[in-house]
Amino acid sequence: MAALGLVLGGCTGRIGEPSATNTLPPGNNGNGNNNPDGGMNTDPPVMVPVCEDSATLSASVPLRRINDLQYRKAIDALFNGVVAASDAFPPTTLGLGYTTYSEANVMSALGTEQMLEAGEDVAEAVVQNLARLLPCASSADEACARSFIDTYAERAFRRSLRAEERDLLLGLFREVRADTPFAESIGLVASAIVQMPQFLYLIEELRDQNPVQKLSGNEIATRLAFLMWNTLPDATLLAAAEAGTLSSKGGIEREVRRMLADPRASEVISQFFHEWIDLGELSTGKDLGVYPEWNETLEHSMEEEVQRFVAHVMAEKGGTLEALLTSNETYVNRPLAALYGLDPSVSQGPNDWKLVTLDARQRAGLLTKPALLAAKAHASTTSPVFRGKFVRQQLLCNEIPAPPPDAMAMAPEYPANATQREKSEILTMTQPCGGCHVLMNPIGLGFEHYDALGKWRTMDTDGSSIDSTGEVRNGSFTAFDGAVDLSQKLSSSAEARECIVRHWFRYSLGMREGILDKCSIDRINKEAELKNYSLPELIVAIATSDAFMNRGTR
Amino acid sequence: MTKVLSRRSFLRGAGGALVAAPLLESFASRAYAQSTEFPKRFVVFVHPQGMIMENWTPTGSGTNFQLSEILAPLEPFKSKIVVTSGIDNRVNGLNETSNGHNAAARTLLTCMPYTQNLDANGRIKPRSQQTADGQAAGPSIDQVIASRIGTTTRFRTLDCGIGGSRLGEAQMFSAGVDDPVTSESNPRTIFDRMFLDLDIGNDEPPPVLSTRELLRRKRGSVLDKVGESFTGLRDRVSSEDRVKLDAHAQKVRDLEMRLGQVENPMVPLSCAQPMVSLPGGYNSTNANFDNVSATNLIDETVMALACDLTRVGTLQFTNFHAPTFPWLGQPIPGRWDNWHSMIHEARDAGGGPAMVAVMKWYAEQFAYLLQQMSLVQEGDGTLLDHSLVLWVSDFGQGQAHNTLDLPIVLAGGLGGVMQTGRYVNFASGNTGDLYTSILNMFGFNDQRFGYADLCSGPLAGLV
Repeated sequence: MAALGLVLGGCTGRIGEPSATNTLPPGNNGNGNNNPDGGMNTDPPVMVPVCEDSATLSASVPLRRINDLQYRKAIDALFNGVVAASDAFPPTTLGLGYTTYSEANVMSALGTEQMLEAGEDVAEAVVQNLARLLPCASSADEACARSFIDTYAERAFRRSLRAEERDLLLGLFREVRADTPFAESIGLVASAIVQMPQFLYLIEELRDQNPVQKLSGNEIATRLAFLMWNTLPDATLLAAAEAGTLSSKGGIEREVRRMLADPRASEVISQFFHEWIDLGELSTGKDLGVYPEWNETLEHSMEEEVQRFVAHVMAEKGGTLEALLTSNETYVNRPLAALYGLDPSVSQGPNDWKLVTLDARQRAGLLTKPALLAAKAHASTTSPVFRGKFVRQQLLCNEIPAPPPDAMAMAPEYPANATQREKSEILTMTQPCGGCHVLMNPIGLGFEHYDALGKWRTMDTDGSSIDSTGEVRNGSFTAFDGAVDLSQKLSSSAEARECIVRHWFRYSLGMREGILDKCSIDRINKEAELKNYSLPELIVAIATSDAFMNRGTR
Repeated sequence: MTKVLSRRSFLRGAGGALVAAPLLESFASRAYAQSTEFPKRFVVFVHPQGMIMENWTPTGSGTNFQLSEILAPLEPFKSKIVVTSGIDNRVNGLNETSNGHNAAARTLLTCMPYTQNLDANGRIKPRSQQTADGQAAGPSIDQVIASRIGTTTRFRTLDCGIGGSRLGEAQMFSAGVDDPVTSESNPRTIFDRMFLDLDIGNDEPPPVLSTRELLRRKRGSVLDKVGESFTGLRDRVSSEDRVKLDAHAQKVRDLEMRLGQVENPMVPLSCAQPMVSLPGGYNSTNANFDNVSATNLIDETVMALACDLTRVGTLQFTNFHAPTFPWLGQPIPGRWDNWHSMIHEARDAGGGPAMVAVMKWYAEQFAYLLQQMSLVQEGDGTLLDHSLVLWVSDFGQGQAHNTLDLPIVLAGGLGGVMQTGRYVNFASGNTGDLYTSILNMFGFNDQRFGYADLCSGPLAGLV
């Protein structure tokens, strides 16, 4: 499915010359911006689908397996908190989009073995805790085994058991019981349950020949539980499914609001931002010669600050996009207080977190968080490319194509001790590099006040005063000065608003949006706008959308 | 009688080092009959980011050649290797919108572009319809060979990743269309997988089986039922979902079959439990990228082959972006941002010696692999003699991220099928041609491998 996000052709063409197809709709919401600077050949504008038929309002979500985090939480929920997580479960692949994507959770041959190992870890814990998990265990008979199956398989599968499923598990019990003690036989049944597809996959069945399937109450409950809490549906959600209330938008909304109020929802929201920023990049490290203060404590502090900031905005500021991008209130511990240049007395140590208000000239919201700035930088130097690319892809939803295979052979030479601005100017004037780099570097240069750790600096590497003016080519605004200014302009821009909607659509449904999803995105966007782009309200809008409630199949 | 080895088998050695107890006797109870032919094996050894070609390329040609500075560690095995120049990965260029890394990795061993970049007729789509990233539209050469020679071994392949297994961009091995192969990185976990169930010929049953041992005994029953549980769902889901469920079910069935073989392994005389020796205080995780894990993973691969637990092994150095190689005592990354930046920028700016040191270290690991394989006696020859080992990288000249003229070293010769002790400079040749030749060396008469337009058939002059 072709991505709706605009792919900027090959970024070919020369800067300064008008090109034949100038339309470069920002965020692909159809608002073409004729750009007299030209600079890129784009593909013809994307077809806009007719938004009345059910095919354009459902989403063709690929079959999804639960990811490693969801597995841990589901096992915990399945066995009442008595069974600890297994490390053996195959890790979700990173770097292929969100961890909720189908392609991040594909079973390999090794993965099947790891899953068997994890199943045995679960089984061992079940055996050790059998009395707590199975009151009838002392009877050690088949009737008791049956009650284990009825309780735990149903809970694992999120619906009533079918006769053949019960028979299968009972058959396993009987087979192994011949030469295995009762407790281990139950353990083996448990290990089978957690390796079965009814547990591992969000199974969504065909009820008829209709290419668009309305999901059942249990299927909606499953989607909601894994989206909102990364775990199995709880009793309330299952009761709602049973009562039929999850077949209506109102019924779904009620449950979503209930779940939003629970701390587990904050974890999910935090996880989203961790992935949206790609905080995993922080672990590539910094040059200790230049940054002797860099260590694991500082790295984890930066990550935790993002979590606490997001939680604070959710709790105190309505969780709006505007607050996420522009609020200069945050939580700091001692290492962060030092990094931010605050008085050390603000915090007693790495575990002492205090709410502070940062200098509004230097700090706004997420875009000025050290975690993000350091992740989008090198070991000792800043990176206008990484920072610019981040804004493009994560806040404007403009895809930047990959460099050509021989890019490095064509890279220009820079004078010794050139500043980032000087290097960027050379790069953007060199062809063919400039075609794409002009979309990234001028944005990233606006971040030059923040070094490779995200610390504020006033002097550039050559001793001159930092020039933090930047440019968003082909955007609804172009010029800005510094990341604080950029954050404010983005927070009120239609492109960034639609882009955050898209990213949450991707995360919630576990897929990149396609052409047909434009209709759903537009509807959700309108609802989000009415609620001032409050993130919890956006989640409600997504969960009650036709795209969420109906699945297109092929 | 299957004896299950327990974790007691790890002893505390000097300084708290964890050392696997050597068995008092090798697995002598079942051995290949003296006249039985030893199976052929295939090993792929991959390092990332290419090579510094001018310090790698041998001089001379044919049997009269001289090893370069980087290849010097292979001197003891010069008569067992074939070094090649001029073999290109041109399939990389079919993925036109990919970043410089993904396509190189995915196409290197599969000779196939991304699945989404092929139309219904298997032809490459025009650029405007292509996707920037995806999985390969076919299996890698190691998996193809494994599917033919490794159907009865405990592992279809043993895939070891030095530096972690969350591959992302570095994903190279593929079991089929959109079917990425994942790898293990923790020497302890690999050890357990390999040896916990293996019969060591000791007929004394242990007094009492632990819970874990009781559970492990019934793996076959569990997997059988799990495999069966997929059947009930197949007819209730869409055809697209069915494809995914079937793929998973197939792997469950395959695992069940392979574990079932463990009951009666044909374990050769040459099989012995390896020494997994970890220095005291070494944190063995799933992400180690260092000389300790490299040595251990190579040892374990060799033992897996010697014990016929697998016939195909892959060893991939997976940290391509920012490894620091502290054990080499070189300034890496020095004044550059990271290793990846050094590859791009450092060669012409004084960073050359450090980079050559790294490339030489990879050569030393390859030499160690060949050495360990040559120490395993198999009848009149050695494990190395009965194998084909392929050393390759995703790039040729790493600085330019160029996938032409890849740095390739083959070793072993498969019992004389390939004449070794040569350097061959091919005027032109594609990776598909090379892999076709490799299939032919294993006795299969394939005429093509991968994307047909970029493969002309077996590589003349290779054997």
